[in-house]
Amino acid sequence: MIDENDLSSPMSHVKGSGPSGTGTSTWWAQRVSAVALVPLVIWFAYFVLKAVKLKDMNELMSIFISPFPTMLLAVFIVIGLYHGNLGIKEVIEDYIHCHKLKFILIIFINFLSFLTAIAAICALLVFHLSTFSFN
Amino acid sequence: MDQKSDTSLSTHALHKKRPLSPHISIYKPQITSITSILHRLTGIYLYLGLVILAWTIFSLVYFPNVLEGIGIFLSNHPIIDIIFKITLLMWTYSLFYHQLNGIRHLFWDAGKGFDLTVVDITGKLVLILSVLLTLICWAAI
Repeated sequence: MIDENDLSSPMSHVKGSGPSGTGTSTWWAQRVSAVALVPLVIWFAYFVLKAVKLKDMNELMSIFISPFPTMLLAVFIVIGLYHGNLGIKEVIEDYIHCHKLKFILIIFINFLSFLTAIAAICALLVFHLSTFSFN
Repeated sequence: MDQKSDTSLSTHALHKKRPLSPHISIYKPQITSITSILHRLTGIYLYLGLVILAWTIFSLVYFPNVLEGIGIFLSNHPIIDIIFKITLLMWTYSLFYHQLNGIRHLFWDAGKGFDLTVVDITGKLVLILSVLLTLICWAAI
């Protein structure tokens, strides 16, 4: 059965999960992280407005002695990086046509996101723990 | 995939029939296209800003002298300080724009708000509200 107006390739009909080979899982992951980021961005804006009014390091430490700002900031950064990583990957796939460069850039972005997330979690954890000895 | 290297099956005829994405340079600007392009641009900018934010927190804990040095440098160079503040202002705008337009996208994903007049109204609403929220935040500092 060949439909003359069907623009998809025969191979896609055989595999059934599109050219990426992963079906709609990336699309879905981007929406789920987007929904999670809606309340997180509102909290982040509120948090930054509060944080810029602080006078010194001691006041900042008095905020991070609570686990919630520490955790929420970590979650915001990690989910934000994850969502951003998916988005940047999509942009690279759309606009970079050189196969090798595309390959290198996507790996670089994945690496950057992963390393940045680890750095943020480590730093926030250390900062949170340092507030215990401070008080 | 590169069309020249694609020798699999008889896809050549298919490629010819496939519609081409509109080229930005000859595309008439509309609310829909502007909001779409802006969504991508703000997304890229937000990602870069988030990476910098994360490494700033990292420096705050492990290399506090570096941040102090940057602070002193900025207070001594008012022009660079203004450029720095403009990038922060742009990041604030990007955050609110991407947030609001992202909600618009989520409604589309749920199959709602596709009517052309609605798309136009929500697009304009996003553009206005994002500027408004940015100004409110910067006024509150």
